[in-house]
Amino acid sequence: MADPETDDEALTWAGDEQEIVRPARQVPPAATGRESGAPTLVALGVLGGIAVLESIGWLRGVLSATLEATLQPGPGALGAFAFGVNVLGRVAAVVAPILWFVLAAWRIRTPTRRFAWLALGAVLLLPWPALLGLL
Amino acid sequence: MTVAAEAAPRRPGLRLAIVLAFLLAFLWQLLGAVSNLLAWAGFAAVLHRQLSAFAWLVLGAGVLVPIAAYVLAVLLGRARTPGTLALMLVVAYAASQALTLSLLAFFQVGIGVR
Repeated sequence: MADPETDDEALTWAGDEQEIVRPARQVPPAATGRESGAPTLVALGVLGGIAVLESIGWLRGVLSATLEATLQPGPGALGAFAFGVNVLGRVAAVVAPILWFVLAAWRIRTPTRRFAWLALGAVLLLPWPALLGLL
Repeated sequence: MTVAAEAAPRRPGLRLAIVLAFLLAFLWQLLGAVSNLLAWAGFAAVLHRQLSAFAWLVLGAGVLVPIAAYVLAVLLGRARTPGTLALMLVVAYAASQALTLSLLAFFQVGIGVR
């Protein structure tokens, strides 16, 4: 193996003020303990994109007049509490596809099971209120 | 759901608190679904009519969704750390809310609101 100091000397010219920095060593993918093949990344990207689109669809659906009409603040403290909890539920529905994607992509290590759960989430959490509004 | 191998849970009190806190949230959702079912059944009775099979199916599924989501999340997360269990319950709650709204949208189509 070459001596690093000799390498540095070889990369420096007399009179140069700017030192040439040696490139950092690349860590092989296997050393990280996670699979990072291109198909896996592409599939994760596609499913992540679907999750984001579904969340946008949910936002449209929740803000539509027909669903908004089902959410009215009731009288008194209990009515206000119920309204707040129901609004929280609508917010949860909007972020559901992204949360599902993050949980499955982050916590499930077995690739087959991870993609099975990701596909299930993509199908299960289709934004039907928005889709039915478009049909 | 098979998640990353984790150490055995060591804080049963915290896990119980998480499970009970989310139980309240799911029970609130269940209460909404049951009251929705009873309200529509009562409305149909006032009109001297019967709810259609489609309406029973959609409103009944609305009752089952929060129960299934909660039970599934607790079963799948029972051997995980409290943080993972809480995350799974959050996702289950969010998915349950989304499915309930989907059923509501189908119901609105069924009764001609949409």
